[in-house]
Amino acid sequence: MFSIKFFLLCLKAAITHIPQNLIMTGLVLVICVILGTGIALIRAYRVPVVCYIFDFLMAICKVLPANLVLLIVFVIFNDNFKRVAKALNLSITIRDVNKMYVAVAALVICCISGISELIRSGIMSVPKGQYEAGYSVGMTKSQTFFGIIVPQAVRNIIPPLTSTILSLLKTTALVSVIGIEDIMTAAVGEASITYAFLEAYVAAALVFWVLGLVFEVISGLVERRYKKMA
Amino acid sequence: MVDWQLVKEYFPDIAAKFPITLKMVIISISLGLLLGFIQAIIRINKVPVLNQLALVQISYIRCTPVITQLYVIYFGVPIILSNFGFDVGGINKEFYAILAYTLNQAVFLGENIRSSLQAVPKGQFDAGRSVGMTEAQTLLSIVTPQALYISLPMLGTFLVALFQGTALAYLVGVTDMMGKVKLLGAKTGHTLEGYIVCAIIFAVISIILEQVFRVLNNKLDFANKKAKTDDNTVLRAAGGNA
Repeated sequence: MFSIKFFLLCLKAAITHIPQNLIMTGLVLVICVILGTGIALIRAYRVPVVCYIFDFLMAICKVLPANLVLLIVFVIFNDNFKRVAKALNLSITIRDVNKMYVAVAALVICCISGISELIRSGIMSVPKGQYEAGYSVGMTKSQTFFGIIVPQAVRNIIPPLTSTILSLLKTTALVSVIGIEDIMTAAVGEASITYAFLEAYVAAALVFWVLGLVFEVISGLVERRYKKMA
Repeated sequence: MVDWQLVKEYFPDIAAKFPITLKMVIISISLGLLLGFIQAIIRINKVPVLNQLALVQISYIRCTPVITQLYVIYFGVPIILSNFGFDVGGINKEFYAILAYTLNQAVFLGENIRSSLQAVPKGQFDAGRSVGMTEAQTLLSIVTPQALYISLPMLGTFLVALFQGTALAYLVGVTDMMGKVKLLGAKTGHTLEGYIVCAIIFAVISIILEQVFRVLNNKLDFANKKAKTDDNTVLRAAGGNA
C-alpha cells in the first residue's frame, strides 16, 4: 500500500535535486537560443548551400525521440572519450567529466530544431515592408536589421519561448534513462532501499507538477504583458 | 566506431518489433480521441464536478513528463487493481504503456478538439437546431465534421509526437524496438548499432507521417479554397493552422 512515510522521504530527496533539473533546463535553453538564432538567421535569409545543410539537420533532429538521442550520445561518449582524450594529450579520465554536460549536449540536439523554428518564424513574421522602410530612410542593412527588425522579432519570439521552457523542463526528466542525477533518479534512489517505487514516482511527479505550474504562471504573465504591448 | 555490418544484422530483428509500436500508437490515439472528445464536451458545457476533475487532469498531464506518468501508472495501477481482487500478474506490460499514452493523448487531443469545436461558428449549431435536429445530432453530424477538419493539422503533429513518445515504453518492460535493442545488447554487448537502427526507423516513419499529413492538409485546404465557403471563420481557422 501507499506509505506516507516513504513518500515524504522520496519527496525530500526529489526536492533537493530540483536545482539540477533547473540548471540543465537553463543551460539547454541558453545554448539552444544562441545556436538556434544563428541557424534561424541562416535559414530565414537562405544563405546559399549552408541553409540546405541546416534544413536537413533540423529535419533529422525533429524526428528522433529524445531518449534515443540521449542514449546514442551517451554511448558514443563512453566509447570514444578515452581515444579523444589521448589524441588531445589530456590527462583526464572519463570519471572527471560531469556527465550532466553530456546530457545537456544531447538535450540540445533534441530541442534545437523546435527553438530554432520558433525564432525563424519570429523573424519571418516581420513584414517585408519594414526592411524597405528602413532602407528608404537611408539606413544601412545592418542598421535596419538591428534597429528595426530585431526589436519586432524579439517581441514575437518571447511569448512562445517562455512556454517552451516548460517542455524543456519535462525533457530533462529523460536524463534518468542514462542514470544522471535529477529529480526522478534521486526519488527512485531513495526508494531502491525500501522498494517503495510508487511513492518515489508519485513524489517525482508531484515535484514536476508544482514546477510546471510555476512555469505556466510565469509564461502566462509574460504572454499577457506582450499582448498588452502589441 | 559504428559496426555497419552489425547494423545490417540487427535491422530485421528490430524492425520485426515495429508492429508493437504501431499497435500502441494506434490504440492510444483512437482511445485518446474518444476520451478527448468527451473531455472537450465536458469542458465546453462546464459540467459540474467533471469539469473540475478534467482541469486537474489537464494540469497534471501538461506539467509532468511522460516518463513519470508512465511509471506512476506502471506501479500504481497494479496496486489499485489488486485491491479489487484482480490477478495483476497476468496483465501484459503493453497494457500499462497504452493506458499511460492514452491518458496523455486524451488531454492534449481534448484541448485541441475543444478549441476546434469552439472555432466552428455558433450559427452552424443554431442552423442544425432550426431544422429540427436534436442537440446530439447537430453536434455529431454538423459541428464535429467541421471541427475535425480544423483540427486535422494538429492531429498530424500529435501523431508524430506520440510515435516518438512510444520510444519510452521499453522502460516499463514492453519489448518494442527499444526493448529489443536492450535484449540484443545484453547478448552481444553492442547497443549503439541497435540504437542507430531504431533511429533510422523512427526518422523514416516520422518523415513519412509528416509528409502524408502535409499532402492531406494541402488537399483539404485546396478544396476549401475552391469551394469558396462563405464561412470565413472556418477558412481562416483551417488556413491558420496549416
